[in-house]
Amino acid sequence: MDTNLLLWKSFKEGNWAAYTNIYNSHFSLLSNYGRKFTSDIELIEDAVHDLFTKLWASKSKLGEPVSVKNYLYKAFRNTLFVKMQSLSRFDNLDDDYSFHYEVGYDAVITDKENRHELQNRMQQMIKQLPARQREIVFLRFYEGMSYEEIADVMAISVNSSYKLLYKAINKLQELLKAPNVLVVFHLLGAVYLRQAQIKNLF
Amino acid sequence: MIDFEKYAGFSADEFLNDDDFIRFTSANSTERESFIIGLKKHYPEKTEAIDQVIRLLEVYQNQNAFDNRENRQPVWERIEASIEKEKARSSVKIIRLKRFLQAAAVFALIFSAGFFGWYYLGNKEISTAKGQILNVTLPDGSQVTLNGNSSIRYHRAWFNTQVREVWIRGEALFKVQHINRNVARIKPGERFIVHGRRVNIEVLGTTFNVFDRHEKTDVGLISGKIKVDYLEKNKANSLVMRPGETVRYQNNKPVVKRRSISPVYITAWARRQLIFKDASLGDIIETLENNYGYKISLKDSVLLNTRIEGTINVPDVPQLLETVSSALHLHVQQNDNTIEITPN
Repeated sequence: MDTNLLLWKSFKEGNWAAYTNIYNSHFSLLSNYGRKFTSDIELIEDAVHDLFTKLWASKSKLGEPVSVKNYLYKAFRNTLFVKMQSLSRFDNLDDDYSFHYEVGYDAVITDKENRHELQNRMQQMIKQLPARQREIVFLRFYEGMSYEEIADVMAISVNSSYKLLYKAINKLQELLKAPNVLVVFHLLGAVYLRQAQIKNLF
Repeated sequence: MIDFEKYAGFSADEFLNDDDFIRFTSANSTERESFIIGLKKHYPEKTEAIDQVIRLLEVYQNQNAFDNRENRQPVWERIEASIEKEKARSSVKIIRLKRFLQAAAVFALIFSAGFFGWYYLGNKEISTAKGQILNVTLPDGSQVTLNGNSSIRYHRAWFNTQVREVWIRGEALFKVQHINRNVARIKPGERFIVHGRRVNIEVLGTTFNVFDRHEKTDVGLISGKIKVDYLEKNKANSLVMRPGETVRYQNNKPVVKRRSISPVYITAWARRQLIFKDASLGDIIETLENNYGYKISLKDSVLLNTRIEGTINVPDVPQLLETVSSALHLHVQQNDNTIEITPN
């Protein structure tokens, strides 16, 4: 069994050390995810605080999720959205939130294929995607989530998660109709076709 | 075990659509390397396709990550405090009973102890030498950690029926024994007041730091709730602080900073750690003079504003001096109580 699930079981029985462990191994991940929605770090910390305070209070009533990380992402996203909404910065968060993407140059080792340029291009393209599409690209290609997991976190149907990722990749492909298309980005086109096939199954 | 067999007919794009592949190659995957090696070993003819996919993922995954690691502990402390508070609320009945017994004991003492009158009149004063840190337990069980070159004073006689009062000079970290949570109904014995030279701090909760030196008073609240009383334009005023907030009272007015400084920094001294974040040489010198009583001579006062970017976290003064010296390229010479800083 997954270590996190064992910890979760233990936490549900009131084991404080297990709870601390769950917190410590997810704090940075949640912070990073939260930072995509808002630059207000205090707000992110408040959401983490509220989430973990509430989880402890309701531990005996909680179920056993398929994945702890997934469960926390979903609950954290909800908590953060409620907080953002209560700050009345957004009327309808469903389609009107921002999702941040910033290339990290520090860790880039410039190799012969000029990765720097690739990074720039990636950033330009991602920035032109709507927030929801940016988010699904993040959950899929950064967090490595399955379609089912993404659907769970974003509170949409599995079918919609296929469609949304397909839209995102479709958009990226459109943006690629520039003269100096790089080899790797052809791949995106290939994925797009595959997505289209999958879509037809539904 | 990873099932490599299913990838037999896969092309580059199909890898990107496979949930297992995506999971193993995600940004925080710990099995990424072994997975890729295993996959390539299984399908040497697909090496190029696999490399292409991985390269694409890497380009995307190489984004700025925000881990907020330095606030992981402080946020956890807030969570702990909130959960504690929740627990205390649900066990309020037991506390009430305990308090009744305490009150009964106090009455018994008052009736029988008239001749101890002299005892009540005195004050107790505890002070620390420069560089010394002292833990003091107050009569009610509250803990005070007193920084160097600081003092606290309180009535020798201190009972639950009286307002608990402490006068402070310098810097101290207070962990106050828990009292009534209902702000509207505080009995005198439940009040705990810390008197600074400019502000009075009324404690409604647990842990906070007071820095009262020179022309400024800083109050940093770690957990619980406190009320700060002060004068503004000669009128009594007050504000209630929330955890993580720092209030600086200077030039006859308070400035509230919302969670501007992490509790880790505020209370570092109590753990005998010297922590600075993006500090100027002036900040560092202030700490050395205030808490350790060094006399610092600095030839070039322009240097006071030079900042050391990032975090310094050292256990003692020699290591702090070494860090300052190497970060700012300065010559630092220590002779007993004086430290001379000159450009290299």
